[in-house]
Amino acid sequence: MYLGPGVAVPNGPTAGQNGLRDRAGSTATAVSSAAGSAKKAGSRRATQDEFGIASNEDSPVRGGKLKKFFGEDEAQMLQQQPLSAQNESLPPVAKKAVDESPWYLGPDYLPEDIVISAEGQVKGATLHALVARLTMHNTFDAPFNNTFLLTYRSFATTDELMNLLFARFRINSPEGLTAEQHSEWVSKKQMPVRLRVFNVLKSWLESYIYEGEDDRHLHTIRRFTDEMAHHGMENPAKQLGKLLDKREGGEGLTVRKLILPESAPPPVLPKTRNIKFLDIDALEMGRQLSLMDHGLYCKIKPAECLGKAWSNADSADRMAAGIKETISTSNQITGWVAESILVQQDLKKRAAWLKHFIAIADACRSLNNFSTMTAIVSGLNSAPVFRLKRTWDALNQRFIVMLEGMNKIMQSSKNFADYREMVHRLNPPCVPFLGVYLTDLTFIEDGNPDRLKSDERLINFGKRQKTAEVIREIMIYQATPYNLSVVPGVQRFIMANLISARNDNELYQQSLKLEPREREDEKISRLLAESGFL
Amino acid sequence: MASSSSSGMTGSSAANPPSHKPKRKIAVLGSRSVGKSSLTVRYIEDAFVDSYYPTIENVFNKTIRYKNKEYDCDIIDTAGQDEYSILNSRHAIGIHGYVLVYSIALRSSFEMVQTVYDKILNYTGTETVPCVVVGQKSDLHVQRQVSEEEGKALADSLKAAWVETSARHNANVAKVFELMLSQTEKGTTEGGPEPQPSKCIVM
Repeated sequence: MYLGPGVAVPNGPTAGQNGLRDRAGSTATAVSSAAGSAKKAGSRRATQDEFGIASNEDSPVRGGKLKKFFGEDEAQMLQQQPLSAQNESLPPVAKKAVDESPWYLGPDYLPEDIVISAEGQVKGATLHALVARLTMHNTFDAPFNNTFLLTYRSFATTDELMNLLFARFRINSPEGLTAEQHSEWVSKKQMPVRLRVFNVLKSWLESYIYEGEDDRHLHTIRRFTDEMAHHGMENPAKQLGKLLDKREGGEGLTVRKLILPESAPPPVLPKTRNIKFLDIDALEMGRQLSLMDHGLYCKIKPAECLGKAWSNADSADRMAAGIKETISTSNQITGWVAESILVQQDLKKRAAWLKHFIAIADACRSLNNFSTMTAIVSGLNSAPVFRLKRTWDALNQRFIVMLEGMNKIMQSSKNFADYREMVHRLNPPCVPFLGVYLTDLTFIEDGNPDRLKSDERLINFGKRQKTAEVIREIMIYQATPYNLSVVPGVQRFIMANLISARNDNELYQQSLKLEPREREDEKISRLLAESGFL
Repeated sequence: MASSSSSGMTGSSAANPPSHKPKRKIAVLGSRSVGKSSLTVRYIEDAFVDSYYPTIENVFNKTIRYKNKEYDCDIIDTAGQDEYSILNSRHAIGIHGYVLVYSIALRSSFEMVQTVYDKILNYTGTETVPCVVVGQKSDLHVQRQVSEEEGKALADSLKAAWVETSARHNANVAKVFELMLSQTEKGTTEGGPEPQPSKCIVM
């Protein structure tokens, strides 16, 4: 049934049923067979999940999908298959497979070392079983492998992973096989497993390695390629060798980015050499901010999202550099907005700056750059700026409406439901507001144990699944760059203005100086005075 | 895990249709690593489970019964965003009450409560806001750095309610939200005016 690396075998005999027919307690894996074939439906669903679409496991939609794939009866069975199902109640496909597959082609983990949900997703397993599944001879579960490689750093070191993969390559045949059985084992098990190991190493080198900190593993893998070549896998060994050369030569990750047509809109260039804030076109400012912010967003790596790495004061700079930089830049933009408005002594000037920042935030919104938009709006909404009633009164209603619209997008009600919906519906490019992902990751981290409650030996892989869904969504928006031209002058101007704001209290005092608190009667007399009555 | 709280409240994660239930928005704030997300998770998911998926809409929505009346509560907890300097703005609009969380085992987190409270007042421009001060991680009493008396005294000075909780042992978790409603509903009478959420009052 093995069709080569990377080829899914939706209806082939899958893991669970093999070799276990004579043993009791094959329950969990038995279900995996049915679920293995439900994979296609499963992976579709994963995509939906990425977009935050509620996917209730019992939903009719899912039933419908299963029906499409397997027909009415089996769909029902697949859905109703309880974890405690006995072999008698296995769906026909699985049963047939049980009869076909000899015991020596079974999976390389004990049934009690893995728990698989009715949907075929691994809920929990030992590290050993996870690696066995990662390199399974007769199934290829792409979403599983992706989740594993995105999140393994939260439950294993790269050293452990490498050693387990190498050990997997050295798989031994079970004792007592006839010559014929042995050659079947070689072709249907040993070779596929070895190719899987090769494939995992390949994709690790292509997409999951961390430049710098993972460098020493390059030597280990290089030594391993000799072993591969020695076992008749010269070509795969050569392929890995080439990848290793690239990595050692300092070539970065294979980033699969869309290639853009040469059709960036012409930038609106500043007219003077000495650029002044109010003279920069709001849309162009939004574009340059979007280019810059997207660049930062793209630096975020999957492992930074694990274990709340960014919130650990001691190690965040090292473990979550990309997230830290995104947040600190956001704070600097917020600081810039507040400071530069509060520094204007003249009310009309203040109003002009306020207006321009609203227009820039709105330009960011139109470019799907919710990150910079939120940073600017936060500055406008900060207490010292927010209380400048007289400045706000000087604004055209149009700007107030614009700002209200942006506040509404980012309102935290219902767990940012409006914002999430908007982001899921738009077409990239987009710079999402990272904070919402960080909150999701925090709740996944704190809301789920690292190991299964029912068996502490088992890594809670469901938790990693959920973490990976968030990471995958983050990565979706990393993949599409903005089709815009860089205007270096404007970017330099922005960089020069990104500052850490003074502390809240100083800003607040500054705000009180500009527009002192006044009682209602004081306000009335001021208004009368200003309008010439007094 | 200890049994669920003995408080008289009942709650259900609600995917309820829009109803006549009065809506209350409650924000949970505090410095990082005080266990505020654990507190929220514990309250919303009565039992800790192996899989908790927070990103679906409505998970932070809960119907809380207080004095025989049901309230549709939106619990706003932006844990994980603590490094953003935006607390004072985005989290103040339309909030009825605040849960201010510190860890009894972390002095600095206790001192943050006053700072956060002042920020909120800066923003709302009111004299006080309905608050519950929560000393989390009461199970870490060996490492206690903030005494019960100090906690109570701070809460009194803020005219707030006070309670110590342990999300880990599910101690007093529901009590937090019961106290919160007692604060937001203070002074409201049957048929009387709705409590106003904080909004921009310019000083």
